[in-house]
Amino acid sequence: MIRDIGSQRILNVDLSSGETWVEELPQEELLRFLGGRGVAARMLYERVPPGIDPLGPENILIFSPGTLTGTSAPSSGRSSVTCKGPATGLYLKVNAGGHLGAELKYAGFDYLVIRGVAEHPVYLWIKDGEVEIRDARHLWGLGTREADRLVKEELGDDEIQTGLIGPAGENKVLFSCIIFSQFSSASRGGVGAVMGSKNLKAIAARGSGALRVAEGEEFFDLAAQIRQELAQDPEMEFSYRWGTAGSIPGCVELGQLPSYNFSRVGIDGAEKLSGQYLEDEGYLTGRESCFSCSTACHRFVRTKVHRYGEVQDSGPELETVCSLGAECGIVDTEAVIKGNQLCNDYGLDTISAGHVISWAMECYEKGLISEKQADGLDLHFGNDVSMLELIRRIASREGLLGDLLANGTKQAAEEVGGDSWKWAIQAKGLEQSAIDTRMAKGYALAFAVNPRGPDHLMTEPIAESGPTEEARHLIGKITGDEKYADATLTEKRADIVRWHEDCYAATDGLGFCAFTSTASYAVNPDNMAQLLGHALGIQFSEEQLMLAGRRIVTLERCFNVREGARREDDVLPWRMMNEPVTEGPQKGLITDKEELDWMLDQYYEMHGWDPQTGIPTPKTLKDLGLLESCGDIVTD
Amino acid sequence: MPHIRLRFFGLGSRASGSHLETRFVPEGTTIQELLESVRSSADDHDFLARMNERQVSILLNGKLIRRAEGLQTILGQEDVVTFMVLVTGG
Repeated sequence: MIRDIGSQRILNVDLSSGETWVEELPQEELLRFLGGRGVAARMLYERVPPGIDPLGPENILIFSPGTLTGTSAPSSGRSSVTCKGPATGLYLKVNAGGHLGAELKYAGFDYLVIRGVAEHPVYLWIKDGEVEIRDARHLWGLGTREADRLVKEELGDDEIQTGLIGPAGENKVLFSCIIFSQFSSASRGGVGAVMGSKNLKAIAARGSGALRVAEGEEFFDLAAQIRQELAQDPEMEFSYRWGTAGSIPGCVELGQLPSYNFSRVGIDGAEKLSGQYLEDEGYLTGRESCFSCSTACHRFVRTKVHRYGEVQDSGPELETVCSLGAECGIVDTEAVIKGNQLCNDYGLDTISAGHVISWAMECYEKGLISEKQADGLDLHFGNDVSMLELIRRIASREGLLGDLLANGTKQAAEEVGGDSWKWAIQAKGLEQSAIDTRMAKGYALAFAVNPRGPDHLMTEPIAESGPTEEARHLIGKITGDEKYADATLTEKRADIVRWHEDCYAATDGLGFCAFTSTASYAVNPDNMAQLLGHALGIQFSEEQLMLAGRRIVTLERCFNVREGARREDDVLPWRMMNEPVTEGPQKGLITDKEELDWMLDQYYEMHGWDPQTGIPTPKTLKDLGLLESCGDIVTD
Repeated sequence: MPHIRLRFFGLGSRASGSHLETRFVPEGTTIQELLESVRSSADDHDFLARMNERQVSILLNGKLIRRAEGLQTILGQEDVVTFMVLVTGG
């Protein structure tokens, strides 16, 4: 079956009743929300009533590849997964690469919406317009690698693409993830627990269909031009050669390597965590691309010393070497590779896994978790054996500590008490990713207003520090003056963050990789809009694209407002706002409450949100065409 | 004649994360002149030689320089100049 890009189809599955049905998405909705993340946000708002239990049957889980996923648009193979998040009780969108999104498209569907709870473990088999709910009791309890292998074996096709959970998702760990195509991870906020709560072990997709763009020649030429630009981009070449962990030496040089649960910004021996070290020392064995990507930043590694037995796996990424490594006071390369493998197999988000462990280590060293409460583990920083054992116990919720940490640092700190909440590096219930927001004001603002919690995967204003001429040019375009390409300034951060929010939402809507649009800039709002226009055979402008991005961001805000979130929830972890950087070139820097409040005022005003509450005003909703659907949140 | 230190990260043949050079530079040498000198002496395999100069991130004593005025900064005794490509995490 060949489908036009603009003829989008929604596959609905009710696991409680076993019913499945298909809806067509009106093209008008596609243009308003761009597809992918945007349409998913729209469906979440409409279909999930306020106040429901994220792990109950009323929550829905939406898989939504980008609108251009499955085409030759470069680096456009990414998919969003959206639901009400169990870690925060708020909006949750995660995003992953791999090949599952394109396969879903070729199988005839642009969105997969799952509701209800199956009576026993099941998996979905989606092939060429058909869907089957199959028994997965024999897969329950298995790691993601083995489950993936068995699903393919059972269905007799090695080319099947899967999205599946491991034991952590089955046990509803609040930072469990979904693994796509074996090596990509939709990670944050406990999306795997939502899948587990539905007794859904896996999704398997295979399609022999195709997608048709309306203006093929123009689309192909522009895609080729962007691909060429990406191929010449040194950052992409860098990413290919060393992966994201190639940033470690730069982080060290800048004094920006979060270590020891963010209490320090550097660690001796950090080079052993770097992508360069993985290559130089022979750990790196290969590289892998997501669908339609020519960069191949994914790693394959193999331990050479075999201290932990033979380990061959994907990654580790920058965030992982920081969270399981430096944050836990560990620079043992093999230990981090092993920890990464365990997280992938159990289906755990490495960012939160590392951070709950480093939080526990700090509690242990400060006497708030005793050896008995630690179930006999020595939790001093640097103990890699304990780090690895804790990953296993968390995934299976084994013992007092494993069960405690499986609920994330927010809940764990409430249980442990004392001052432990001060070094719980979380906000809204999500652990912060390994970017030190004390040193970068735009990041601080972006993290505070992020609807899912403080991380870099909803908005990433890399350009704010002006690391390259392209970045400075972008800052000049956004703010009117390149002098604002300075991350230590609070001025114009609201402008910078809002532009990146809009761009990131559009990037996710169409399925592009954010590395190409908010890091290298070869993919930009102008050429994204042109590609979408060529795909649909219409005129579509950069302004329309960015407005749609803002509509998505505002809709996501509305979801959280309806759940009770207000301005006071737009905060950063306590340590990030109260303990200045203690060492290195950034010593003394802090983004305190006063600075954050000032930036929030600018940000709300720019968005047209009430500065007292953070709620979008009726005028804003009207201007964005959201008043009819989201008017229930405003009181005016 | 100031004695300075140069550090390179992820720049081709100088890639392995902690490459360090030291050199003396004439009084009054700016960062711009240093960058040109380094690029002109790099070999063909060196990423720094073939990449667009605008995409090199430059740190002076651990802090990113603001390009317009920063490139004209005159180097002083024991300054540390770092050339790198900045990428991000995932």
